[in-house]
Amino acid sequence: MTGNKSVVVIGGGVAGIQASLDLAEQDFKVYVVERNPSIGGRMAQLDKTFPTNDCSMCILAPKMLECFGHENITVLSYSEVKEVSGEKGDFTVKVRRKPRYVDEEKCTGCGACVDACLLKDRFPDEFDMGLRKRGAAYLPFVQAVPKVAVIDPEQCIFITKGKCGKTPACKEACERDAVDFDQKEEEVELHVGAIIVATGLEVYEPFDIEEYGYGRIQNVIIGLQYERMINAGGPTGGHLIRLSDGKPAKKLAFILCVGSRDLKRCPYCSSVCCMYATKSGMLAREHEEDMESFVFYTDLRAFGRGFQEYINRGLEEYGINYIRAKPSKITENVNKSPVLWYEDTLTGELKRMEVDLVVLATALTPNRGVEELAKVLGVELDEYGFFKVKDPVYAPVDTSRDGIFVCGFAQCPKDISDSVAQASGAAGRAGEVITEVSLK
Amino acid sequence: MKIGELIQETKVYNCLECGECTANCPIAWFETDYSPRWIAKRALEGLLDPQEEKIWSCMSCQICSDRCPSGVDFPTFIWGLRAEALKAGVEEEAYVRGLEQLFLSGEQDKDLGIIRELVAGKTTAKGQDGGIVTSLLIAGLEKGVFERAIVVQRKDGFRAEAIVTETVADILKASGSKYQFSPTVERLVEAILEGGKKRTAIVGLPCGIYGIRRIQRFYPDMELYTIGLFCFENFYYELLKPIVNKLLEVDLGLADKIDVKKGKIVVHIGSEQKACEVKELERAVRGSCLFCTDFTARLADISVGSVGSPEGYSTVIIRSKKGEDLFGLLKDLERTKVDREEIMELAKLKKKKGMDALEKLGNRIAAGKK
Repeated sequence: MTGNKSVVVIGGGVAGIQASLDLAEQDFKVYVVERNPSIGGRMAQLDKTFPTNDCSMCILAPKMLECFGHENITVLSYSEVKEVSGEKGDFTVKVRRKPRYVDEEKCTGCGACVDACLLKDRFPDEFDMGLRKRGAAYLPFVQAVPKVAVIDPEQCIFITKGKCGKTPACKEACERDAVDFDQKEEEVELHVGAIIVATGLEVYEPFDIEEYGYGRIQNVIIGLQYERMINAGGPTGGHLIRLSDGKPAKKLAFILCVGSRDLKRCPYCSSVCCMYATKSGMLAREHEEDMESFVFYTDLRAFGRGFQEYINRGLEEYGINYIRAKPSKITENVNKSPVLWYEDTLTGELKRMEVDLVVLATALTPNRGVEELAKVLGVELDEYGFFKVKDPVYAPVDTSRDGIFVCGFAQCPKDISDSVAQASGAAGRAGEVITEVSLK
Repeated sequence: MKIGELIQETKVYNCLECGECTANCPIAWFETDYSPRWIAKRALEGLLDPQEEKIWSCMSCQICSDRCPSGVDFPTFIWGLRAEALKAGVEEEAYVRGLEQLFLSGEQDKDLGIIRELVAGKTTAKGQDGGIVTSLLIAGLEKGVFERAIVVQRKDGFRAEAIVTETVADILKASGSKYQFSPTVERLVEAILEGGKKRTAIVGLPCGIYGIRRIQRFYPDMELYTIGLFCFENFYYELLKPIVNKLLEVDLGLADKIDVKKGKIVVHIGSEQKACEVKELERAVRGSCLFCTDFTARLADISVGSVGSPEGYSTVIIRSKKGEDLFGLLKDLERTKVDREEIMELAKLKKKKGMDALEKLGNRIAAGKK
């Protein structure tokens, strides 16, 4: 018997978690390699999911815990795949484990180090999309799995300058002596029969679309920032505010296809924005009765099960205003309110609209670093940087290299349920390949 | 006419009808029956009359195509329609002359347009040549002739950025030619619609001044002073920078001054000067400049340029009463002799170049060749 009955899953978002659980339940051994300090991925940042408006974290958190606690799953968080050799049924995967400077076994996630850090509230928090500041010692988010603090080596002055008070405040504060500045980078070697890529997506930050003023006009934000803002556990406690003055935002504009369906940027459709903009408008109205939402669309693509009905509900029950226009620009008036300039293409009229907050539904792209990863794995990417499949019809989860599979947004834009479905498909194929090799 | 070929060449078929072009079009905000999207739509549906008056509304600022997510080259589409119209006997000049009659008054010159006075001179202000534009703006602002000015400053190296300002400091910072297009007319539209009614001065290229005059027809009580710059052609900074870098081995971003004279471009960095033929920069030229026929900004109240006057002096063509009054404010003017022939020669050259390019485009479309 050659090979072995284990799998590496790269990426611990909802797709990676689903694939891991499917395999683990069939008694395969799974290693989840997650680059970030916690698993959960993008879905963890979302407030609700469409088209049911279920609480995103309520669905995901149990899965995260199940994944972490499963006897057949080992989660290697804050780790990256650096080298892959071998072939289908017998891969050797080298994983680099970055030091967290916090002992994973000892830390209880109490947050004492986070509060003690001298640089508290100094750096933009990744999870909250920069809407909140964190220190050099931080917890990724409340429901993080593993719930272990991490110390950023580029920000911590004890690591960069060798000095932080008499003794580092975080170390002093920790009752369990979990802070460990002697931690070094480690390399782990794994022997597996198959690999699943579930690296997810990155959000396009539209600094180059100057006419929309992102980064210049304070009350212009992007979709994921809105998700954090409307989340009760988010940086504003679920209140929609104008970032310029902290006053309540009552009039919202959502612009679709920003950087996507754009031949100079991302020519493809991100596939989820029409729906999440609708969701966002609904949630706003659920938070405050007098909230007004305007969705500026080029085409409303409601192609999935229950999607068209969802948009109809947005219109009829939530009073969302859909305007067929791609605004040409956003200017800022003296009150720091964004003003949208647009042509209502159904009437041909040119109009301006002052709002409190503009949410740009920007392109969603392959994750950072996929080019390097593809080289390490020896697989092909498509022209946009998504992992290429052998055949979209006959082999929709097989990459160009035998024994390596792909699922979720890493393969092409898709929503959560499609990502999960494809993850199960990838798990099925991985299991099939391992079994086939081991029976030979 | 083979409008289908033109649609293919300029990718009008890609249009998603998002309307970004029309909302971006400075003309469309005032000339309400003009819409790039609507023209594209009617072209695709076979309903466009290629000789209709609206094809002369475009001022070729190219903002629509620069920002079009679908890569539609609307300005070239319009130039193609114009080429056809010219072939069919429509006179290009007619549209310019109509506007001249509305806004200017003076002696009509075949090559240089309306002239009340043609002078060369310099002031003590530091500028590209004689400092005339800078001095006019400062004088106008200080004397209260206008309350704000729309000028182009340098940003991140030599990139041009159009701004609206009410301060002399900003005007001083804006001196010197950039040889790039910057959306001054877009700023004007924003200033009028968002910033309220104020007397405004604007410095623009010939294309921009044409656009402003089209707009002004629909907004007659706009108190506006237009200063036009002589222009043979303009460049895309993003394209120009790497070419200059390669040919002259200098970083354009570090340049103190750029000068285009007698077919040469000179980049000044400190005491160093590097030069090459302008022809070598052809690939960085803005598409619409190829077809443009106006060298001296024929529709401005005052046109200013270097051609026609000695080194360190500027040539000034005063074309309206407004222009005359503004020019009269200059206190420290030192006059010199102006070479009218030289200006006419270049004006003719540009016109011929533009007409030839239009004819070529027309022939290419007619032949159905890519």
